[in-house]
Amino acid sequence: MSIRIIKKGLLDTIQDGGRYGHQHLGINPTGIMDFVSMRLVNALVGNDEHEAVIEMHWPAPVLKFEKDSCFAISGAEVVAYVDNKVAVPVNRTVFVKAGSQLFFQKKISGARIYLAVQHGFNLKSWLNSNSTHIQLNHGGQLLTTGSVIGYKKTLSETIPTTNICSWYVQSPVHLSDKNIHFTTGKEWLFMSEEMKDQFKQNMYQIDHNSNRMGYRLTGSPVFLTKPTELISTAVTKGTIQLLPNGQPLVLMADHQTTGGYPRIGHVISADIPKLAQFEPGESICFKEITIEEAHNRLQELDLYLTQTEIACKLRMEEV
Amino acid sequence: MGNSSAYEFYACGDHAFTLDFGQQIDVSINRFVIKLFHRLQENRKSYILDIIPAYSSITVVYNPLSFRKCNTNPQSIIRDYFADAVQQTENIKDTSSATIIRIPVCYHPSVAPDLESLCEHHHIDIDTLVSLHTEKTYRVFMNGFLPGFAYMGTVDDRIATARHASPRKQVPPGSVGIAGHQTGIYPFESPGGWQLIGRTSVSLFDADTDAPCLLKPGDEVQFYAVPIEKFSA
Repeated sequence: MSIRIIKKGLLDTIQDGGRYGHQHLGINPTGIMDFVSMRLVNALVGNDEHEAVIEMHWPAPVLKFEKDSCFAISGAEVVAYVDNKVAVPVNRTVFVKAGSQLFFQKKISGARIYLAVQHGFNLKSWLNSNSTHIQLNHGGQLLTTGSVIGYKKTLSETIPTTNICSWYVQSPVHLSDKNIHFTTGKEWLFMSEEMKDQFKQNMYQIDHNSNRMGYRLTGSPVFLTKPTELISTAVTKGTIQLLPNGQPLVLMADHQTTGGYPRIGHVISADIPKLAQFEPGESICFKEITIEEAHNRLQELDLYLTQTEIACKLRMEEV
Repeated sequence: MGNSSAYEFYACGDHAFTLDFGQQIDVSINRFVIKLFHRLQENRKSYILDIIPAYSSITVVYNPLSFRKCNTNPQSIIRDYFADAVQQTENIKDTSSATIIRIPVCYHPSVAPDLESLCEHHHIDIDTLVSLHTEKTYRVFMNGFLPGFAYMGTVDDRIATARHASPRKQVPPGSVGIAGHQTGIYPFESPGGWQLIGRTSVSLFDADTDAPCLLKPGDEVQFYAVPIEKFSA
């Protein structure tokens, strides 16, 4: 026993980097929506970057720490309190004593909140992953009121009172920039130049029926030069499918393993965390880049996160 | 074996590559794809996250950060990885005999909401549909859509039927359906648009075992009819 859900939020699950290696059986990887925030919260508490964390949506749950704990929150910009009196900023390391409650009062921006505890959660892994497969309700844990998640280890010292560390990390993801970069897909060539321009000029609004499976977008419709029906092939996270109504659907963490809609593009891996933090109603714009550039952006992001992880480790040793 | 060396190689974003042997549902192409899949699995590289065979294509999902330190382009490495495996697969003699899995199906209107309308549409009676659906052995071409869902085919022209224009919100687990020339079984409750002609009580997916899926690409499946009295969902 260590964290108890006092009141559940909209959708609270345990997630890690995803359950890979089983897609040939139709078992989709699921996993974290925003891997940048997952690495930041893990860094803040001195965990390995792959440690499973809690992913929360808005409204967020009320949580109770049943043991002295070291935790951090990241992702969406929120106003949160411990025991209704101590404000808990995002992207900081926090120590609380047993019995403390964490309550999220307000969300300023972003769509998903992440929470990690030092040493990680004690979970029963399924096919080498702790990601919650929501559809199967298997692996990880789908959290509800009364759910309890154990810790792998208890803290070595007791925490007398809530303590927020003075240092913090900064997210490299900027939600004020609405550009989402993509590389062109197999069926991109089946669009006229006019349609390609239209796709790149559109301000696409994120639909309300967007979720962890996919983001449905609305803009001026675009079409292929002739309707194309494909037999099913594998699809991946970030694939931009063009639906028959001329609107794109971007596949996210809970996407199916295969699909048959034309693939006009693919959101680059480095921009998935940003897209995951945009909410329904917000608008985005697609910018074309090459695969090489996409790799460079991912490497830059990884370098930033690795440096942050090292800096946090040094800080944690001082605590 | 088909013309296996004729393929297209293309990127699916910054973390996957696909080898495509042509947009068609063809047993000899799919047989090659499955052999190639096993070859790639045996020679799995550390940068690979998933190898996903489909009807006539195979996709490798990779971790782009694995190439960070070596100054190489993932595209050329994965292209070579595929090309080598294709060549080796071409030299493999086809000796493996597929597993035949027999699945009991109850073809009764009370558990198969599209059975009567489908028969009406094709001007056949239920007995004819049952014999047409059970007399063939079907190949599992691929898994996809849901964990443990197997795309099988191909069904007789006389019962091939387009899927529903708008999918049902809830299809019960074990429902046996037809979509075009494909047939398949819903492993658990889900939305779905296939024409439902029967139901089985066989478990297709068990998350608690190491091999959670009953049906895998390359398997052969034969259905046999059981009366409603002997059926329990």
